Amino acid sequence: MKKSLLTSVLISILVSCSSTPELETGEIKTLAILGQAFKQSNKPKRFVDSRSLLTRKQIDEAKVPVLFVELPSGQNGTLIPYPGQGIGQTWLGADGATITLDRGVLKASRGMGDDLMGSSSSMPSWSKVNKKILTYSRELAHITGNNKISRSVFNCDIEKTSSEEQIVIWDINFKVAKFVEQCSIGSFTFKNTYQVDARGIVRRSSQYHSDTLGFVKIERLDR
Amino acid sequence: MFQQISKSIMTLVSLIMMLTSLFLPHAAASDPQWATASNFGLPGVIDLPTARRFPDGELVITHQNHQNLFMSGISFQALPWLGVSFRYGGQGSGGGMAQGRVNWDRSFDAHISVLDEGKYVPAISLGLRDFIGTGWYSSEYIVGTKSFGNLELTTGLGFGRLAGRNKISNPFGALSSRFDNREGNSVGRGGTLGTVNWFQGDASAFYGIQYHISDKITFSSEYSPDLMSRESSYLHVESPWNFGASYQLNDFVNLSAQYLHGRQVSVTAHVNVNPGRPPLLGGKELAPVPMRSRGLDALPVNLNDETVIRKVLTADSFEIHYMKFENDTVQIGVNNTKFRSQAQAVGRIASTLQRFTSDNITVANISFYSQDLQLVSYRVDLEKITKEQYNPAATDIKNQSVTAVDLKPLQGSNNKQRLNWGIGPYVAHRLFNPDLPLSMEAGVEVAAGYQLAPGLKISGAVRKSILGNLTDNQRRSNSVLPRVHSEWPLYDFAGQSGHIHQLTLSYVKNLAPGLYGRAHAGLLEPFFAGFGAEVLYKPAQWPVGIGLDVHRVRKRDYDMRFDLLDYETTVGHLSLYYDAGGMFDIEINAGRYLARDWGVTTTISREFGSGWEVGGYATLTDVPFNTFGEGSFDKAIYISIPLDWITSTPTQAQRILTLRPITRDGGANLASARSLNRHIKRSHNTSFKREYGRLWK
Repeated sequence: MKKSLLTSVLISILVSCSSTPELETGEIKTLAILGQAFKQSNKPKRFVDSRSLLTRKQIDEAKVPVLFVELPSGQNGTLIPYPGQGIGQTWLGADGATITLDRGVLKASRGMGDDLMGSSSSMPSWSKVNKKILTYSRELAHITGNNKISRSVFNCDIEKTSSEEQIVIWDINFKVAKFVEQCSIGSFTFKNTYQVDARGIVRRSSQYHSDTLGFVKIERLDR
Repeated sequence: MFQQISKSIMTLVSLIMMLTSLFLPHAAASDPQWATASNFGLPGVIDLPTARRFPDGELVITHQNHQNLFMSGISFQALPWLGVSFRYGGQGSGGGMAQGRVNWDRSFDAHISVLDEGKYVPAISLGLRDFIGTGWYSSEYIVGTKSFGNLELTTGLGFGRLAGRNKISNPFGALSSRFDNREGNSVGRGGTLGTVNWFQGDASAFYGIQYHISDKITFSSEYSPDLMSRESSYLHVESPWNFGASYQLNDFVNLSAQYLHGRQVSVTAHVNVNPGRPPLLGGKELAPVPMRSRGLDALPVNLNDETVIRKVLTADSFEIHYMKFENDTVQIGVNNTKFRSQAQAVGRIASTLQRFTSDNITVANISFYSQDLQLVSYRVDLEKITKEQYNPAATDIKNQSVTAVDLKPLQGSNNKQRLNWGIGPYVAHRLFNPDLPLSMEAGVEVAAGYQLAPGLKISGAVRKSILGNLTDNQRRSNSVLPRVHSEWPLYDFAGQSGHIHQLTLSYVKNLAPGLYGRAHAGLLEPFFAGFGAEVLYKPAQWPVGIGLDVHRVRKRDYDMRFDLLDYETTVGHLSLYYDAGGMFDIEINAGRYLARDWGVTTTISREFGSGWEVGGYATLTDVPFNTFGEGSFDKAIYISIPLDWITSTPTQAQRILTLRPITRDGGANLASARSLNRHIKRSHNTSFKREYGRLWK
């Protein structure tokens, strides 16, 4: 699909001319840029699975917090904390993308294409959420194709659906409580799940990111 | 009797539609329902229009081909309610023109959306076809479209060429007798509105039906009142019914096959793109530096880490000219070589400075340089922006954390690379010659530039054609004005053995805050040599800029080497630039042109936050339309395409596609006369505001 578009646009721009030639990019550079784009579009959509590269032993030996993130496309990677005290906790991946979490809840991403530019919510702390459903609002900001910020305010509720359950993350058992958050705006609804350990660390979650990327699965790998 | 009743009903329906059009509110700016494009490039069934509209900003490239027609066009949804289309087509067969056509003609259409479809009301639109120039397809319509599930019904009233079969008296005749009869079209030398006879004369009803079998496949049929009289010498119409099937190949390409007029098989392809719908939303780039906490709750930072700042910014392809820490301010001057989006470039530098400067540094003055000019400066409040990175504002209206300012340049540009050169292919083309509608030339270009001193540069480009058909052109200028541009065929011929495209000595300087200057001399462009200067006053926060340029030029010899011809003149313009960061920007240049004529060029363009620009210009001078010749006056439309929109990776590269219906001598501009505004505008405050969403991307 993208290749067809690239081909048509390439043909259009290669036959182009301008009354302001000094301001447009010459054929040499244009061809180089488009050639690069073609090469990238021809790359097979296969991803290196971090699960086959990283072992529990390596995680333990690293002695740093490690996050595993997986997209619905299967693309995944591990991230480590960005050093220093930031706004929320920012995690840096080997591919240069970052994810910022606030108490384990997705706050922002960068370098992932259709990024979550920011989010805010009045979600109560994990310890205050029990089986009773609590309601609040969550605001998500995304970027539009015309580079404007589009904000959507969702009505959300959260509920603890399980007080104690066992999950296995990279060969280690964790005791967690499960929380389900449901948010809606108009007819659009998404459901996030969080599995939180006794220390308040979100060990595993599935969180809505954007229309393009869908839900991201996040796991905290260190013990 | 039956015919009379039928006509009365049609008149009544027409009046209802017209009154509905007048009194119901205008179309909302929200996205319309899916609209298929007709062979004319605007929303339609097959040949006939529908009342739908394209999404705002949509660009549709159309090509239709059959035995008796070869038509290409480009359409643009210029406003949420206004679609416009430009086409160039060759009609007929067995004629004496290119491809054996009997006619090659340009045409313009407009499609105005009056009402979007509601639960009970149809969408309603009106339109003008081929309303400028010779008017081969000259017609108008009012049309309504209503969908029922996957079924879409269209009915309308056509005027002019669309009033052929089952004519009725003009329903607008009830309003004014001037609608009763259609005046003949006096086109003059073409290129103008000619006689405004829109919606005059008899009318005919037309009908269309479309059934969307799936998201990809649509079947269409229409009843056309067009008798195809202009085509009668080569096309025998056997039926008013047209049939078609279209297939949506992907998000961008639609292919359709049609059976027209009871005997003609036709194929059409549409390519849809929208500046606001990039192939990859957001773009691919490395994440920016996350900001650190600042304030009472944060860990103190007492040192400015200049080394890391330099490393990070260099990794983002910024060339740092200077970095100075003074009291609470860091001053930095950079050359941005990577990001087209000014907002993104500002955000990248600001977040890096926010993180790696000490708590004492609370303000950053970031100055951007390009080609030895300081383009613009932004003042950033490093404390205020701390919380904005992951909580971006929807607009910058209330945001004062980043502001454009005019600062005195701290020092000259520190461009270490003095010699630039490149070798590679070039492609040139000529369009709209009836004997040779598309002629092209490909060859090799060698370009080089050397910086002699800050702001002073010598640069040039040499071209040698390798293949092409520019020399097949047999047409020669018949202009009665000084032949300043219309002798391009002679240049095409004589330049075949290799020519100097351009060779100039140029000097640029920031004359004062907000005041830019440029002077240049040499072989300025392929047809003219000379010397001249340009100044532009445009403070960073102003939406308005004022420029002045004056040049003394002499016509170059046709071989485009060092010899000059006798023709010599002085050209100059006073220019006004207006860009408030909204939908449109305007440029007005008033002054003297190459053929010694006086006049005004008005350019209106629509700029998108994605970096696309679609615009057009027209030049009216004291040269009478008849003296100007074919086309009556100089005009063109252009599309500027940012390549990062295609590739999704940051690059400043862009291409400009200019469609100039005819190149003659009246209103001919010295192309190299004005470049300062284009040079600085992409970095100025209005562009920053337009792409504000990329600030923290």
